[in-house]
This record gives sequence, structure tokens and C-alpha cells, in this order.
Amino acid sequence: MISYVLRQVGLSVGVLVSAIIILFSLIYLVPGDPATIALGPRASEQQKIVFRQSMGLDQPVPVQAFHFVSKLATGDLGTDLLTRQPVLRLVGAALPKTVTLALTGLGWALLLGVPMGCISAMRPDSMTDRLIGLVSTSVVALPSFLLAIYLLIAFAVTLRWLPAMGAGEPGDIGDQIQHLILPAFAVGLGWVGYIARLVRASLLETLQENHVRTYRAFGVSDTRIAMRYALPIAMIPVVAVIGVGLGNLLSGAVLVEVVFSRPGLGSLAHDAVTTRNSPVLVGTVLVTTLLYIAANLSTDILSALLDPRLRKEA
Amino acid sequence: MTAIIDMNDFSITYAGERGPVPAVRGVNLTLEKGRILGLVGESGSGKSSLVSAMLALLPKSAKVSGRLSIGADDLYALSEAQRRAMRGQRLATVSQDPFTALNPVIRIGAQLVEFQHRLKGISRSQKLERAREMLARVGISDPGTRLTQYPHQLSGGLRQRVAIAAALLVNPSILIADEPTTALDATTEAEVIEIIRELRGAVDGSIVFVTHDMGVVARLCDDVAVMYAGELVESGPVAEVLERPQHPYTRALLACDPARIETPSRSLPTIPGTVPSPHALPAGCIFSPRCGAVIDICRSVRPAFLPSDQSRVACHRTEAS
Amino acid sequence: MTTVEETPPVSAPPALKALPGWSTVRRLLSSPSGAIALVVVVALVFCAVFAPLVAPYDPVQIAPRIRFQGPSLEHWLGTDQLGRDVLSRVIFGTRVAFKVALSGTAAALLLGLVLGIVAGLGKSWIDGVLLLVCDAMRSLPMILFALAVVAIYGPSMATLITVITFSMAPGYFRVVRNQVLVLRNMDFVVASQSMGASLGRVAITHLVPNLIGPIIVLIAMDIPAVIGIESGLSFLGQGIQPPEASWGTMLSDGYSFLRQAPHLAIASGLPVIVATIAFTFLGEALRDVLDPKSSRGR
Repeated sequence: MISYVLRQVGLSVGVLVSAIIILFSLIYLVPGDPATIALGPRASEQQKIVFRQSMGLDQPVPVQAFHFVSKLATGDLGTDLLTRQPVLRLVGAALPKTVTLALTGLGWALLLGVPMGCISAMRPDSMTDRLIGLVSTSVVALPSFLLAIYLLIAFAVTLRWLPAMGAGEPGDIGDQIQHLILPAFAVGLGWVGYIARLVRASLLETLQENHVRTYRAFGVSDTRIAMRYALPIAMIPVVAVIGVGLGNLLSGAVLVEVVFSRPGLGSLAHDAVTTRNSPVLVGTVLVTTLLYIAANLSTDILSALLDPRLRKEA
Repeated sequence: MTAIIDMNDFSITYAGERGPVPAVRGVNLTLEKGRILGLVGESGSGKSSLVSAMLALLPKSAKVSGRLSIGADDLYALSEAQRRAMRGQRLATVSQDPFTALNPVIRIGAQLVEFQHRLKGISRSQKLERAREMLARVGISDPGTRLTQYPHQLSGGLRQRVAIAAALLVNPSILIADEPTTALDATTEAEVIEIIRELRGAVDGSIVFVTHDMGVVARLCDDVAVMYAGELVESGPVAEVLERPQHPYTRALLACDPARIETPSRSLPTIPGTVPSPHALPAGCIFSPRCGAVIDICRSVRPAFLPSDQSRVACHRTEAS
Repeated sequence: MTTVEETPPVSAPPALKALPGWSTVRRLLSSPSGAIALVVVVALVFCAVFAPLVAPYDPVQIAPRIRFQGPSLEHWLGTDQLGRDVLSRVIFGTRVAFKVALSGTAAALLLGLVLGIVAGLGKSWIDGVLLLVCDAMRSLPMILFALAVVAIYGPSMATLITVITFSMAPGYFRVVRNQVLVLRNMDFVVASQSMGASLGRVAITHLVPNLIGPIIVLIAMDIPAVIGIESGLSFLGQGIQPPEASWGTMLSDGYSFLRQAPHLAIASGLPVIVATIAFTFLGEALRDVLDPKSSRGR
């Protein structure tokens, strides 16, 4: 168990370092003059010099790499080209909002996906199972921002059941929750389908196991066996993919935030890209990548902990 | 004496991909109260299907015909709910594989409490106490600790004792032990058999012990029923059948039992030929293609299952004698 | 000269498969969802190839007097804020979507193929490094990464295709690498190599037939994701640039006039929904036919 955890941590660090290298090469190994590319051909020579200095581009590449990494290690993600604010502070302010949205989306996905998967697995090949399968497969690949637009038209513009724009009044929890429902549903719907299919497959497999027969032989009802005794085992592989899910949901949340005009990483990135504010974007990508890798690592360890067979002599 | 299991021309057919598969055909078998029946046969003989049928645990693809009575009830004339109501109350089972029979993520104690769900009017802590007492009775040391452990923390022998304790907790009138020692080593096997022998008085009814080992039958059982390729070929009291086997298959099976071979030889005796596939059953006697004593009528007419001395045998040769 | 290839040793998994042909298509058509998905995909391809013939109007023809018209007999999906015919723009958008999806997928496939073969045949440290890079690529948040690339290189179709290439290549890399490793350890490949068959010949006779099924499935499964990235970036104004009609830019227009003319956004979203669902079902059906054992990897 300990060696497993250490191995996973080691792998995660390796992946993170590789991701940093990829991002570094992206910014600093641009063919041509990065300043011209970034500022456009109409930028004055003075602007380009300032840009080069601020990005450290006037130094040799290994020096640049060293600066990049050593600054990252101290938590310095660079400064906003326009407002001169530290990128870390901007990202730090936006991140919790996006994570809240992604987690609520995950909540939707579990809330709908787990029961759908259970209903399917309890009556395999029934009409209900086929219908759930059809719906699950259909929603799996739908872009969440598109869904957000449709939800906005249906529930906010036409029916006026829920608020359309923003994240709600600061301090008013009820209002904020109302503002969260639609965007979170848009973020989570694809994963409703994915989780429903995963739960179905995993539960069907678990229901084939011998201990389920034991419980049936003792006259325990099928529903109770499935819910109380098979589902906890069937959920172990589901928990393992939630880390992956959080990454996908964060990506989806970025666009959904723009659609619903919610503050967060998405709006931050959207504003930054229109002003070509690349340090903000690189910082955003780095922090999100770190978050994703951490989420993956913790769900890997969590799913190992959930299984008493693996927990043995931890 | 009262019959506790009574099968009359009982058959099981599965809906297979290549047409129906007749897994069990025309079984007539009676088990009296208080006795231990050894159900013997090779793998594929239909004994596992028969066990599932007795527990009303056949898969949906199975169709039954004939009659299988538990006490006064015709099991397959009951509704699904009524059948389920019999399990865990009048019927209990010990499964073949102790390593997978218990839920891996639930503590032993919680599982033993769940198995007593039919017992009304006693509290959870009382059920836990009953479980603790029963674990002690099947010879498990430190039962209090075992209750808080997970199945993987116990050895195979211990897990099978837990499974036996679980079955005894519900006071069944029929305990079906489905090859409970196959997955265990020889020493543990002997211990488990000893436990069942000691506790037979605790079962207010009968035990069906499924095995392919004639030695186990001799040590444990009162009656024996021999199955071959989905049919019952011989049944009767153990002393009678083992001393004077009438059916050629029973004789061959006994001849193959290493414990009974008197003159050691370099190779174990085997029965020539293979078990017929349920898709291509021979006409007449099911054993005729492999039988050393085959006569003409065997190949055309299926022998009836008739009394012979104290046993019942399905063989033309015994009818003739 | 040798009979080695005709009698693969017992250790060989069921390796040599026939290339997918008409029998595959027939089996695909036998499942209702696969048949419908295939018909829809063929229809979309037809629209993309023959867009000028299929579209009733010029997609960039401005007609200020008929702005924001709802669906009618003349304009089935209505008109947009400049009076352009939405249906014609949707049809021309199919062309853009396929152009991006096909070139991005082709480049990703090529990159994945080359790196996969290098990783599978090369030294183990090369394999390790490539696997790590592949995991790192997969852990980047795709939309944010794409925006970062756009912020540095500027928005254009080339940038878009590059981002898609890099985001899709790890999937192909994994499939190719695993298959190469399986083949590399198989006795008959070792045997045919020792018999003097060149590496290239081994690759063509053994690798290609084994790869083609999983790769076709992967392409069908990836296209919805590619369409998602393309339309998402174009929606943000960082992908396809106006006035070219792409589903994403149309959604962006529709979003701007959501309250005035909701039909614009609804109509522009429909092709995205149809295409993603059709390709998803096609991928599922193809997997059932070509690659029954493989499950969807992470």
C-alpha cells in the first residue's frame, strides 16, 4: 500500500514536470520573435523591448528555463501584462469559483448517473435499460457550452424559472445556489451519461459474484443486495475515474462560465486571450493542471483505501 | 419418518444458444427428515443444477418440469415471492468456494446479522450475540474479534466455518452443502467434515452434502444418490450402495476412488470414454456408450428407476436379475 | 521459403485479422443505432463536400432588410443579424467542421503512429519519456491550453488544427505503442525478422491489420471531442474567424442576440448536436463490430 502510494506520487510529479516543460517550450521556443507574435506587427520597438524584458526573453534559453522553474517553485507565476498584478493572485481568486462549479457539476452527474446506472443494471436489456443507455450515450459527447446555451434559452430566457447571468449576490447563499443550478447541470450532463454507463457495467459485473448468490440463498431481497452489498463494491472503479472527471469538468466549466457570465477561470482566460495576456493564461493552465493531477492522485489513493482487500496491512 | 425433500420426475432445461439444454432429466429422489444425503457425481452431472433448483436459485433461462417438494410445499407451484420466503428460513446453503462466498467489503459480524433477517423480534445486538455463539460452536477461537474482521483477514478453513455458522444461524430444515470442502486442503477438509458431523443434531431437518468424493460420503452420509450426465442412476443407504453397488457407473466410480483401491498399481483406474454432451444424448441408457456390461436393450430403451434390495437403480441388468 | 508465418506458435494471440471490408459495413448496418448513425454521418459528409450545391443561398450574402427572420418556407432555419440564410451557413459550417476535424485527426494520427512505433521498438527509456509526455498532455486542461496557445500564436485555423493535433495525438500514440509491443514480443514476428524480412515489411503485414480496427473506432470517438474544441474556441472568437461560417462562430452570433432571436442560437447548435451524437453512436457500433474486447481506455 505504501509503495503503491509512493509510486503514484512519483508518477504524478513526473507528469507535472513534463507538463511544465511542454508549457515552457510553448512560450519560449516559439519560431520567430515572440514579442512580434505576441504584440502583433504594429507594436512599436519600444513595446517589444519592454515585453522581452518582462518575459526575460533577452536571456539565453537555459537561463530562461532556470528562471521559469525557480520562479514557479516559489509560487511566482509571473505578472499580468496589463494590470501588473501577480498572476497567482488572479488565478487564486478565480479558482475557487470554477472548482465550485465543477464540483456541483460532478454532484449533478452522481445524483443522476448513479441511480440511472443502478436501474439499468437491475433490469438489464429491459426497455428502461435501453432508454437509459440511449440517453447516456447521446449526452456523453455533447459540448457543455452548447448545452449551457440551450438551458439558458429554455429555463432562463423563455420560462424565467432560474436566473440567467452572473453568480448571484455576494453573501446571499440562496441566490448563489440558484445561479449555480443551470451552469452546473450543463457542466455535469456529459458525465451523467458516463457515470450511468460505468455504474451499470460495474454493478452488473459485481452482481455476478459468488457472494451475491450467498445473499440470495439467504432470501435477502434483490434490491437490498444490489443497493447495500453490491453497489459499494461497484462504486470503487467509479471513484477511481472521478479524478479524471474533475479535469474534464474543469475544462467544460471554463466555457460554461463565459456563457453564464460567471466570474472564474473561464472569464479570466477569456479576457486574457482577447488582450493577448499570455502570462495569465499560462498561469491558469499550470494551476489547473496541478489541480487535475492532484485530484487524480487523491482518487487513485482513495479508491485503493475504499477496498479493504487493498487496505490490508497498510 | 417424513419426507423432507421429494422429487418426482423432476427435470431442468436451460434455454441455450444452440437450442434447449436438458441439464437434469427425470429425477426421483426422497430424503427423510434427520438424514444426511450425499449427492455424488462428476462435474457436469447436473448436481449443481439440482442444488440450485432445491434452493430456488435457478437462472431465468431455466425451465423445470415434474415436482420438487420441500416438506408439504411443491416448490415450483409457489410464487417467486413465496419461494424466496423459504430461503434463509427453511433452506440454507454453504457454498462451494469459501474465498468468494462472503462480501469482501463488509465485516463478518454485519454479514452474519444480515443472514438472520428472517428472525423477527430480536435486536441487532442479540443477533450479533447469536452469531458470536455460533462461531464458537463451529470451533472458531476468539469469535468476538472475528465478527469485526473482513473476510480476507480469515483463512479459507475459517471462512468455511463462518459459512457453516451462517447457515446454522437460521435453523434451516434443509442445509445444502455444495461441495464445501473442494476448495480446501486435506487437513481443513477433514476438520470441516468433522464439524458438520458434530453439528448435525443442530440441524432440525436434513443435510444434502454435494461431493464427488466417495470417501467423504462413506464418512459422513446416511444416504447416497449418484448422478450421471443429468440423470439419477442409483440411490440408497450408504452402507448398502457402497457395499453392493448395483449400477455399473457406481461401481466404476468406487473403483476410481484412490482410498478404496486395495492393490496399488502404477496408474489410477479411469472410466473409458467421455460424458455425453446434453446436445447429443444416446438413446436408451445414458451410460450405455461407456458401460462394460452393456446388452442390446441398453442401447434402445431407457431403464426405469426401480427398487432393488434397499436401493433404487436405473439399470437393465439389475432388472433382469 | 518458410512456413513460419502460416503456423504461428501457440503463444501468438489472435493476431492476423482481415482488413475491415464490406462485411464490416454489413454488420454495422445490422444494429439500428449503427445504421442510423452511419446514414447521418454520410449525409453530413455529403453536405460538406457538396456544400455549394446543397445550400439554398450564398452563406455570406448580406440582406439587411430580412434580418432576424424566424424559420419560414424561404429560410428554413431563419436569417441572422445580417440577413444571411442560417441553413446555408450551417451547411457551409459542416465543411469547416470536417476540414478542421479531418486535418487535425490526420496529423494527430501521423504523430501518434510515428511516436508509437518509436516507443514500441526503441529503448525502454525512450518509451518511458514518451509515456510521461503523453500523460502530461492528457492532464492539460484542453480549452485553457488552447486559449494559451492562441494568446501566443494568435487565432487562426492553423493554430486550431495544431492544438487539436497535440490534444488528440496521445490517444493514437497509446494504441499504436501497445500494439507494437504486443507484436514485438510475438514469436512469429521475431521469426520473420530473423528470416530477413525488413522491419518495414513486418510493420505493413502485421501492424497495419491489427491497428486499423482500434484506430477507426478511436477516430469516430474523437471527432465529437474535436468538434467540441473547434466550436468552443470559435464561440469564444478564438478559433475560426468571421465571416467564414463555422458552427462555433454562428453560436457566438446567436448568443449575442439570445433575447432578440433565440432561433439563431438554437439553429446553430443543432448541427453540433447531430454530429456529436451521430459520431458517438457510430464509434460505439464500430467498436462492437471491429474491436469487441477493448474497453474505452482512460
